[in-house]
Amino acid sequence: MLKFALRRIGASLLILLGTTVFIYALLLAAPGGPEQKYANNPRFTPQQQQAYVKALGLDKPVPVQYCRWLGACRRDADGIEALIGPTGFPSILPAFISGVDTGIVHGDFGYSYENGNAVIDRISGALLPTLILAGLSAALWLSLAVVLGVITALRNGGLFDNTVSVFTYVIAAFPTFILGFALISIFSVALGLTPVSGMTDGRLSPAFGSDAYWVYFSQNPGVAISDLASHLILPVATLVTISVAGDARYVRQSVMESMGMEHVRTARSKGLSNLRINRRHILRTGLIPFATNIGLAFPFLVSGALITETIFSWPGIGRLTLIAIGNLDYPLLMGILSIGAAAVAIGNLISDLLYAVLDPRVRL
Amino acid sequence: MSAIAQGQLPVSESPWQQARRRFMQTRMGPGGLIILASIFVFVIIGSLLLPYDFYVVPQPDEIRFVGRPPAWGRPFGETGMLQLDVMTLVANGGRTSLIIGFATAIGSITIGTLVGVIAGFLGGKIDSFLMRLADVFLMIPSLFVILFLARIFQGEGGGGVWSLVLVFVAFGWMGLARLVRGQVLAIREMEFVEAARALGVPPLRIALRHILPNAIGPLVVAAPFIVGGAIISEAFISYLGFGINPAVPTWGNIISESAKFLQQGNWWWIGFPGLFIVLTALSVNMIGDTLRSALDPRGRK
Repeated sequence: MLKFALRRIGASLLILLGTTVFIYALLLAAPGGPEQKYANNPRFTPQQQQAYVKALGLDKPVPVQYCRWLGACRRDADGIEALIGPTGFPSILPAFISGVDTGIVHGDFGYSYENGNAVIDRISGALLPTLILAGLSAALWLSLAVVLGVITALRNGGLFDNTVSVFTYVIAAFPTFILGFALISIFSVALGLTPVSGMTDGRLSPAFGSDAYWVYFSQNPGVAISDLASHLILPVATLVTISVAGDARYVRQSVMESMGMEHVRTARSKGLSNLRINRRHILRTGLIPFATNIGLAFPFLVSGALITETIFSWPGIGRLTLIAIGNLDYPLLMGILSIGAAAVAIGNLISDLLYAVLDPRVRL
Repeated sequence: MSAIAQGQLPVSESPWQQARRRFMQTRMGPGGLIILASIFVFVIIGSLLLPYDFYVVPQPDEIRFVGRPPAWGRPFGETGMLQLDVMTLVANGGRTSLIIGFATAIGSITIGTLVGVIAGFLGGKIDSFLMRLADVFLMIPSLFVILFLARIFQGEGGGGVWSLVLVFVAFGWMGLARLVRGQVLAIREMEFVEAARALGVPPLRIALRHILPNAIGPLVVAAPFIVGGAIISEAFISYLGFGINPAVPTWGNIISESAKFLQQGNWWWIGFPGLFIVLTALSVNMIGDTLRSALDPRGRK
């Protein structure tokens, strides 16, 4: 088991490294870099443009830039010496050994081109809204999918099963953003029940996450929480409906499959009660495939909310990504994408390991 | 040789005939085909015959943020601002959206099959290189990169249909390549391939004539889902403003424009293109799911 886990972790790290190399090459190979930002301004002289490029380190070859971004090269040296830190140890080792503290392996994600803020600050500022939205949705999504899937499988062919099946089939064809707009049209515009977008009511409270917001929050927590909750209803409903539609069908199918397995027939022939068969024999085998899916909730937490955040102007990671793309803000994009890729890798890893724990046939 | 086979074996339907019969016996499969065909007919006839010209602004005498709701003569209503006919917009937009969907499916399947057959048939280092490449592509949060590439193409004065299709294909081949590779690996070891090899059939011919035709089942199943996925992605990317040039009508561009006026109560402006996207996605899902069970050998009677 330990060997299996170590091998999977090693493979994930390698693929992660390959992914960052690929994304970096892709970003820098793209035409129209950040130095083009002021190109239309007649006061922006070519000398200034060159100085700007030099200040951002964009005049160095791409492999050197990548090496510096990763933290395997020092910023203050060129060529092969850059690989060795001032203390004589390789630059990639932790800062207290190598004396190098730049690059992501040392926890330095660089600075946003857009406003010079630290990338890590911008990402962590957007993380809480995303975690609130996606965390709540994921919890509701997983429990609803299991409940609906199990009930429809055990009562299969009944009225409830048929209704749910048709409903989930149609909903699964809905793109997230169209479902979001439909919900806004009905509940916000036509009925006026919920806010259209945003995370807080601008007339009542300061922007979420600012220092003023937390002062406001501590002064009247009741109002702040109910305001937040009313803004959460539609985005959560959108995310949960879309995800449940796909997964309830998945749970239903795997529970149905386990109902037809031989050990269930054996249990029935031994005269066990239906309740016991359902609980001990059908659900345990039937829910294994879905349990492994929980690992896949991680990329959902980081990237799956992009669409929902955009529709509802939710100030999270997804919207930050769109801002970064719009500005061609490479350090910010690299930061978000590598954290996103790491989340996907961790999710896959957890789901593989869970599978190996739950289903010993996998551990070869 | 085939004469002997025909003479001695009892007459039976080919696997493809069987699959077609099983497909047509369901309610969902033909139902999906009918919906999709109706959308095609609407898009083709509508974009050719509707009396309102999409590009000609009908000189509104007043500015209206709220358009006119559906009524006789204009069954889909009228947009706000320029007061265009929504039905004409949806029909013209559908042409672009459907082209993107089908071009993406054809492109992804071609590349995926090529990579899958090469990896599975040649094996060894080429195989592991191609599969690691697919791993890297799968690990990249593709939506982000697709948005980024679309933004870059847009900056280059593009925003065209084909640059978007190119981006979709670049991130659509991996799953198919794995699927085909798996099939090829299984089929490569079968006896009829061994027999062909023993007869001295050249490797290229074995790959094309003996292995490929037996490996395309999963591709047939995947194709409808790719069409639907590409149409939805186009709509979303155009909605974000990174997609096709806003002057070209696509379902996504119509939604992108109308979403700004959602709060004014223009539900028909966003509702009808949305409905067409959902119906397209629903019909391709119905076709794909039915194809899957029709081609599944375990369910054969």
